[in-house]
Amino acid sequence: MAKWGMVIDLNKCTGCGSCVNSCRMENNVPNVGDKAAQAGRTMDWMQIITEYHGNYPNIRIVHIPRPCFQCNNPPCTKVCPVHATFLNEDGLVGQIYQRCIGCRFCMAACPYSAKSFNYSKPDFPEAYEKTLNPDVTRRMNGVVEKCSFCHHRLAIAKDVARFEERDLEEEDYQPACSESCPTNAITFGDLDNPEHRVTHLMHSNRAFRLEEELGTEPKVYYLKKEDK
Amino acid sequence: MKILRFTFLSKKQIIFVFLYLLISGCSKQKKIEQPVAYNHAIHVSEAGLDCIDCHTGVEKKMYASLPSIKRCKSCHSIMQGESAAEALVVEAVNNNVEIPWKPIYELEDYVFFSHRRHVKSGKISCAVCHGEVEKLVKPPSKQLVPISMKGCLKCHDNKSISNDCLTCHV
Ligand code: SF4
Ligand code: SF4
Repeated sequence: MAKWGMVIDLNKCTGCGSCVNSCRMENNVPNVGDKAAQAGRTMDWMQIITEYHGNYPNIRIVHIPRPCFQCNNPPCTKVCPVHATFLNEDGLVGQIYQRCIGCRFCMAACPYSAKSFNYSKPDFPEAYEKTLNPDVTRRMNGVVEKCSFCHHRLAIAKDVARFEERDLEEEDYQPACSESCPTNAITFGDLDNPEHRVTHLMHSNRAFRLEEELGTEPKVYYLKKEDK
Repeated sequence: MKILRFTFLSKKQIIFVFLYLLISGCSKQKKIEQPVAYNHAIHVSEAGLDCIDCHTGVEKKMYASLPSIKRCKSCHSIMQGESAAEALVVEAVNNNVEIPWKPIYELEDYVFFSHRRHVKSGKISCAVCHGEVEKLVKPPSKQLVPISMKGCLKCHDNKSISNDCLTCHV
């Protein structure tokens, strides 16, 4: 079984927000509007955390794109009373909206704030309707959602591979964020495949994971930003 | 403690809700009227057609399709019989307008379903999910085999196919 994961090179990330926006478009993530955003109710599957080090004019800025880390030992799935979020056989942490009762235990359990709650019915402006992705369902209010590693693309890629009677190749399945990154900062692939460049990067001496000491075993690695 | 919303309802309201659920549960799907009184049986038994001859793409595409007027054209540019229904088809063929067939099987948008995966790779006959449509002399007005997740899971179980939620839910 594949173990899908990601390596994000912080040296390459310019914080342009391409991943954030492609994710929103791909996964029909709603914009909540000013009022809700001020109340801290934004919906983000991919978020860029910006850190500032030092004082002006000697500032060093680090942009850290944060998807769901699809933890191998996810604290979020353990607290769900209805099995709406779970670790699946492909190593993806699923979220089934129809099953979710909106208790938000998983949001509290996730140390990375990767989950968002639909406080209201997603409201897409009329012009948006035609640009929504038919491969991803729209969520209703009262349920939690999060980055899925674009697993609908995996379902389609598996279907195409099966139809063409071949095995799934690494490049068949890429999430929207890695595909759209203009600096190729995001590398996505099977962490169990020793041939893939994602595995080489994962073993780089710059590689680290966020809050590793919690034992969540995230499948998203970062490559440390180096001072030039 | 008012944990359930039902605690706010009176007895009468609860009975009403119960009856409503019972009735709506019995007749889940609305009857669908097709624009032409299509006779499946005659096309299969007399014209010798197979399902995929008109519902093209079920073996090659993810999504199924309803027949386009081009399919009808191969036989019905002139009358083959005498029925009024056929006259409508011939007229549509000659004017080159599509017949607005209405889909009877529509899955929710949170379900990923690939026809070719089931028909070609899975080698499942159409009747397993759609019933014996080839025997119908009138167009079906509702699903002959109602589609439910229970049915999907049962079949997946029997054939040792993954029942992981993400296999079908997007
Ligand atoms: S990052 Fe958070 S939401 Fe994602 S798997 Fe880990 S604990 Fe769960
Ligand atoms: S909010 Fe939904 S997915 Fe999260 S723990 Fe509660 S029921 Fe489970």
